[in-house]
Amino acid sequence: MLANPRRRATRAATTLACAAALWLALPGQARVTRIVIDSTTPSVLTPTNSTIAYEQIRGRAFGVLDPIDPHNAVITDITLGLDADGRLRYETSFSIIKPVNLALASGFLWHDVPNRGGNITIPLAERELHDIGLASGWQADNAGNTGVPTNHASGSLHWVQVPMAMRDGQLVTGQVLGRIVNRSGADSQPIMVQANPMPYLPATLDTTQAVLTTHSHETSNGQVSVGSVIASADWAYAKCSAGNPFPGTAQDINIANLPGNLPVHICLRNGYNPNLLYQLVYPAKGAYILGAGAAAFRDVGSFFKYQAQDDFGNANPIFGHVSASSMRGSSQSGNFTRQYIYMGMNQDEANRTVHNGAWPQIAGRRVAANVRWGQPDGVLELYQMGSEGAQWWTDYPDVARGLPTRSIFSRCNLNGSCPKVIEHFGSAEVYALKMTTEWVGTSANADIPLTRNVRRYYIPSTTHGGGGGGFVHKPTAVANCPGNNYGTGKLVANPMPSTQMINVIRVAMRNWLMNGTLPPPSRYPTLTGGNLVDPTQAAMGFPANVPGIDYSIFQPENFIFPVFDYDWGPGFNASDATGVATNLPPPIRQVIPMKVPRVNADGNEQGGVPTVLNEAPLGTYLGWNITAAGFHAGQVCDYVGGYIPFATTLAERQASGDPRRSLVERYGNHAGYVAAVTTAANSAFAQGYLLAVDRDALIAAAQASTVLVP
Amino acid sequence: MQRSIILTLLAGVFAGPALATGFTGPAAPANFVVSLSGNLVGPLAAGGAVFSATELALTGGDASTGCDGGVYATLPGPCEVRALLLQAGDYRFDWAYASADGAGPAGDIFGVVVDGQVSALSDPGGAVSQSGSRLYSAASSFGWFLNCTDCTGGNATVTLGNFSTTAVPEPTVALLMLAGLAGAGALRRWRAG
Repeated sequence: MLANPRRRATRAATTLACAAALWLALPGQARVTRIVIDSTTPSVLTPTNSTIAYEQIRGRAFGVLDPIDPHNAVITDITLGLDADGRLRYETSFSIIKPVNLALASGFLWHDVPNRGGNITIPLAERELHDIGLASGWQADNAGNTGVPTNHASGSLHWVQVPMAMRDGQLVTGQVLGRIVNRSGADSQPIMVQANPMPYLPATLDTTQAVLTTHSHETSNGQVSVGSVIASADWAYAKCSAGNPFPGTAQDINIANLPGNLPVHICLRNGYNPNLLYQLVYPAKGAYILGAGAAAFRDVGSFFKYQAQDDFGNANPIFGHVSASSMRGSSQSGNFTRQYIYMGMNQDEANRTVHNGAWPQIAGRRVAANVRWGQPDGVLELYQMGSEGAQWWTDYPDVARGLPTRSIFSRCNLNGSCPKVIEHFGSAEVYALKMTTEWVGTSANADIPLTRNVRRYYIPSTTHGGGGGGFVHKPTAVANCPGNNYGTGKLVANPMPSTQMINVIRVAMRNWLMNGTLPPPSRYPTLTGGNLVDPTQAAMGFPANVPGIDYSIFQPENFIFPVFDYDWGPGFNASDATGVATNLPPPIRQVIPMKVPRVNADGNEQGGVPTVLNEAPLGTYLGWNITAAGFHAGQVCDYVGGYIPFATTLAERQASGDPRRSLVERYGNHAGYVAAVTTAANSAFAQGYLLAVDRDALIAAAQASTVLVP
Repeated sequence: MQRSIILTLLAGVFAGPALATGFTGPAAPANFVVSLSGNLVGPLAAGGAVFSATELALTGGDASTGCDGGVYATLPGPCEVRALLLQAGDYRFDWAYASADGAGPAGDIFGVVVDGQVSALSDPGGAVSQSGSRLYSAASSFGWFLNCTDCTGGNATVTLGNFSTTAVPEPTVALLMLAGLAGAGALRRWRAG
């Protein structure tokens, strides 16, 4: 029977409408639904030697997550943060740096991961390449620099607003561990995580519900000397001082006042003893659904790469001008980059690969950003989470911890969304940021292979993020130990730079993603090559009698922060680092063996990419330093490096008993030093680990230096 | 009896370690067992072992044909060239490795096979050109391998030189021992007669 034409048309229209509705509904599962441009600043950040003008856009993205979508299944507590319609909603900041005339744009997008909320502007070198920069929030703990501003349209930092976990209409509560160190006097002190406030308010001001313990000593390898438990009547959640003595002014624990009522202060009846560390385990409320922050980062990256406009018709200001993209994070945000890939977040709700590339910098682990009560600011000091689960790029049987064979790529391998990865590190990450587990696993007895889609560059003898560079024989910069009120180092700051290698990687990543040109081969110390050894003076081959070094630093209790295999409790998934940690402080089941690079007779590291200062040294460049004073005195100074210059002459070094050859013995005179720099620079350039422009600049800088100038 | 002991010891001396240098004598190419796997079974240009009196050159594979299934940077690879000497002894040599693999030396791994146990010498995190000197003692066999782990991206070559060994071919050892025993037996029979 032939259908009535009108009925056929009606049926067709109905079908079309249903299809359109379905099309509209499907993308709504997990994506950015709306963007708001809060400001546009024209003609800023324009490269000085280019005619192209840049502008900066600051705005916010609003998104929804469907808890049923498999892309979101990994998010801890996602079902505890849903609106009435069964969706989780977030709002996040973003900023875009782009050419005013997008016709001039290169087509390459850097999606930068803010470190603890800090805004990121792509550097001049990338603006000169006409790249576009995007930065957006991921860290959803709403404290300090990641705090959501009262006026969301204001500010320059990055944040994500996500729900707190609720159950039966009530905020979820749980135990949180915080620490206070190197404090003295009557004043109350804040609970900090690295440099930001602990994000979680006490659930109650009743101190009998919490345990405040002192530690008289802690070793680098996890041995704790417990002092005593401070009686609940002798402390308070309060601000106090000599003029406002104990119990002081009670802490505001109203959730509605976050983040303005942070940090949480602890007031002691008898004041703080600088020789003690104070550790508090307390009931907290306000568990952010931190993993939603990773999804927000994913969705923002996908929106600006792929979508022409939002649901309300607001145009994507860079649509059609991104052909390749890389996410990039440094240190804490580099660890997030690895975490993001591990979570499988590099595929969006439409099954598109979000970023072609990823560049985790000076980051060899993951970050506690998808666990209830997570502290993403943590830097892996004692009892801080981040080394759980797979840290490596190819499947590795984590026999030592009894965890399944996995890799950071495990999830993205299932759907082909793994990005090409370039990672680079320095020595400080080896000593204090638990990096070599990524290279040799938890058994530390074999090199874990990379894949062809990963490049690894180790910049030997560098401090965290690299030093200031230059050819200064005796710099004087003080080395500040990072972390939670750690102090300073005995040795001056390590000037060994990483800038030149970063410049290489920038070019290499763009070329790899845009035209398939392979980056230089990986270079890093390995067990096979004999450049990765046990962290002892003997195994390292570190010279004796180097002035300025207290050799007790090489004792295991002082030298290296190993990975600890913590027992976080039954609610914690140790492979995914999801769920909830309930054992606080967590028992240490075992200390994972660590490795360090072998050094030469000067104490400078072997293996890794060739660098000019390592080949033409002015001293010993260390990835570690010695904490000068305070609770950690004599131990490795968290993740800052030190430097010990060579003697200038033979007589000078003989007078101090320095075993390292003097500058005159090595180079003769200034011209000899410049020649050594020239040879080193040419070698690094020839191998592909130094750009020509940097080679020339380094040689010129050596010529202009005062090294061995009479 | 005294003479038989002397003769036996004499045979032992003849059978004992004697230094051989280069790929001659007990280490002559004919005494090596060269095995090729995967796409290395073919023209030497595609991979193989080439001896001279002073050097052994190993060339690894590259074309993926016949070498499917390898995983980058892992041991063993699906294709390899292996040169083995089935003799106990001490082995000393210099090696020079170069990789043409765009991803670096992890793509093509060179190493030794000592009494059947494989271990890498080339550094997967090192430079594309590497070299070294090594000394090994083997109880039954010794040799080298060069593989291509996933057999793409360019091959590697290894040159082995300055080679010396105390190894003596197994048949020679046996013959000398037999000669000694036969001599002792003859002496005993002569004295008894």
